Amino acid sequence: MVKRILYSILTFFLVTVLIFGLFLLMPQDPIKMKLGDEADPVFEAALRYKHGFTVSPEIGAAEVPPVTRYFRWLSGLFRLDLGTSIRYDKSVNELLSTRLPNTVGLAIFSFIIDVILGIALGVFVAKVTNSGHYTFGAIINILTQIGIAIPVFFASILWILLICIKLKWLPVTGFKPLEAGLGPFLKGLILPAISISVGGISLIVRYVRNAMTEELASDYVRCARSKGVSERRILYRHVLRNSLIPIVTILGMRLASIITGSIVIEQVYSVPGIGTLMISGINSGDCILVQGICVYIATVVIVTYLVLDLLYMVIDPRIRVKA
Amino acid sequence: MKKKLIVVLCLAMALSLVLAGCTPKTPANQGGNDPVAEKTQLTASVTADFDSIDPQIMLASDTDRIMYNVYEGLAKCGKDGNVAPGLAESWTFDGNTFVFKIRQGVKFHDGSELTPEDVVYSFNRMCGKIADDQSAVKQNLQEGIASVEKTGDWEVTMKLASTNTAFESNLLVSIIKEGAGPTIVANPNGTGPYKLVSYEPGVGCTLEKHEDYWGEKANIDVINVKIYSDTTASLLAMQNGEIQMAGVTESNKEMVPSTFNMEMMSNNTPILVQVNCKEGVFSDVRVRQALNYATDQQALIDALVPGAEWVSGYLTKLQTFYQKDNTKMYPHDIAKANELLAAAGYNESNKCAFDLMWFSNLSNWYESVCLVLKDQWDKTNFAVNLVDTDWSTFLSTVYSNPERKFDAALFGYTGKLDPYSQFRRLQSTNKANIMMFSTPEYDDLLNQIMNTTDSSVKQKAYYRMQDIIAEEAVGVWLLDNYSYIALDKNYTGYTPYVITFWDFSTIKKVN
Repeated sequence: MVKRILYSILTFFLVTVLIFGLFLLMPQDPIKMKLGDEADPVFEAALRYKHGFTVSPEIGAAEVPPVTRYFRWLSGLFRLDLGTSIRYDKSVNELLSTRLPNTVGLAIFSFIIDVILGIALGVFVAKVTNSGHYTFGAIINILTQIGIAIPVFFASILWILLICIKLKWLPVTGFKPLEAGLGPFLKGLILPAISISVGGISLIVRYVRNAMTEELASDYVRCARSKGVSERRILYRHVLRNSLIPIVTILGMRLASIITGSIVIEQVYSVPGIGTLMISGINSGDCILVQGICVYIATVVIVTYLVLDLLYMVIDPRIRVKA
Repeated sequence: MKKKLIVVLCLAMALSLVLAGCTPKTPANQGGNDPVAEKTQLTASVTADFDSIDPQIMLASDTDRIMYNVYEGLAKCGKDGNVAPGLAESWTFDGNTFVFKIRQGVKFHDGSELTPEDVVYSFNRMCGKIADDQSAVKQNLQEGIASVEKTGDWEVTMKLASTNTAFESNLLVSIIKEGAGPTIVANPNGTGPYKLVSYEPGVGCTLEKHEDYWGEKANIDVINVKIYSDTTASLLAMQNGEIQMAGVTESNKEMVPSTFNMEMMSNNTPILVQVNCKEGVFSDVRVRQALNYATDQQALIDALVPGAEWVSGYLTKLQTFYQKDNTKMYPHDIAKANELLAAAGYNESNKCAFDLMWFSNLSNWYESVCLVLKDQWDKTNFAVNLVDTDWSTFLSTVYSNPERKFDAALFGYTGKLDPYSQFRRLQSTNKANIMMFSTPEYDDLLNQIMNTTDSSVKQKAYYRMQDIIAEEAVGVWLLDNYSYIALDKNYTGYTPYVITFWDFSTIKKVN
């Protein structure tokens, strides 16, 4: 476990070098991007100094070496200071803190839908398929394939046309910040969460179905049946438990993917989350903002996989013993 | 059994919570009347977020579009494109010194009164004279203004560093309360017909009518400005009645619901093919002229933007006093184009090859323009290679580089209130002279304009500069693009301006 933690820290450092280095390779000048083609030279020089690119606010001031800028940025990370966004002229921490509840709220909402519906449907499908209804299994295969294959953007537009335009159940962009109340906040996330979950449920159903089908063919299941153990107990207490390793893996990956910002969904529904912030940062060449977001994403992914590893040990004692 | 019952009850409770939260047939949070407060509302959509809400720092035209409703300057843009009195009731100007008579009784949004000290502070802040607040310094003001002082109870005198009759357009810069600079973002406080009551980056802002506005009060009580980064979502929201006002382009105007009126408006943004007049193939005026003869602007307009104005220079029909029409100087003539190319040493076996850069991250519409142009130019002895480049890369590697390694690039210039600021783009000493055009006569004419207040002399000088641009074929001028403002039929009163500005104060609800 200690080794895993050390590897995670090393991964984090390598990621920071990669993120910082990539921006150095890009030709865009974020200050020029902000100021445009008729940049005021005095204002430009002041901005360059403010964001740490030059040693003084005078026009023509010397540039701060990239290595120095990297270590200054890194030391800021240790103080949990991600810098000041060039585009928004606000601290990246502040921008992330206003956006994070929206992305996390959306992530948790859609994750709960994924878990509840995905696992329940997956168990049901495994049970039905295992009892010989192969046609049903084939139909589910096709449906889940469609669910995974349909581009999220396209599916979102279809949901909007149906739910918002046709049925008028919800507004197209009904997002409300958390300050407006938990109810309005969650209501504004219903449609985006459903849009994200369609693909997730399809994926989870397939994983659950496949994992459980394999377990249902095991000797211990046959043995349990012959002992007279109820089918329900076999399914939920034994088979599902033993199928959890791949399921937990896919759930972890799903959560990491959603919590780092569903860029497409946030764009379509105008949810001001991490995804739209990232797009805005990239479009404006705001390297400080994008670096900060990348560090956040990297941290989330690294921590998620670390937690997954711990979960494996809890689920499967054999892994605990080996560790 | 008991467990099952509990699960079913929980699910039923959750479902009822969700359904209770769903709206009935009419969508939520739109314009219309709030029956409780009896406030009229309008929701407008924009595609880009504000670059800053500090009125003396904001640069993007998308920000100006909204924020001109909140902050005002000594002057403002008149409906005819003229410089009209704003917070200054009147002024005198002899080319070197402005003497402003500050309007009395103007209230800021916080209820305090505008004073001459606020005017002095605002300009000093932008000139870098406020020691602990250098965030809003502008070089043109810093170098152009020698002093700004209160010289009477309601009088402010501004002395320029040198004669500059084109300075008037700088009077639109926003005036803020004395000392408010460092806190203006956290506490917006202007004098405009609307006050900024909330702003959330990436989401939008809310404006409320300023009840103590000095001028004609706004009609709509609350303006909700929402940022829709996705055009399709914006159009669907319009269809659903969630938006009452939006900017629409030619390519998606067909999707605007019939419940909207569409007003076509000039963008006052001349689009042209900018060419490198100093190096490469276009350093030869014959080649530049050939490119003009090879271009059929009218066919381009008819194909892509029917009804758009064919321009021959920086000015559009919104500035008719100074605009001269030289569109007939280069009629579409393939033979003439090839003749000029031959004189420059190019023919069918040795075509004049060049790269035309365009910027998809500015607008995908540019690709259509490039394809039409290429099709036209391929019929001559030009061989054009289209290069899709990132605008920021172009700014960083070409624009900022004094050597300017490029052949041609397609983009437009946002129109300005004062034509001088547009024409000086070709001044030989201007770092923004992307086409690197240089001629003493042009520079002399700019100086002449700078030093006279006589509008007929200015007009003559502008006419001559436009002739020079045409004769020297400085670029291939194409068109002034236009867009549409879609306004819900329940509203009326939209007024177009020369600058990028949505004047919400003139919009009202139809009974």
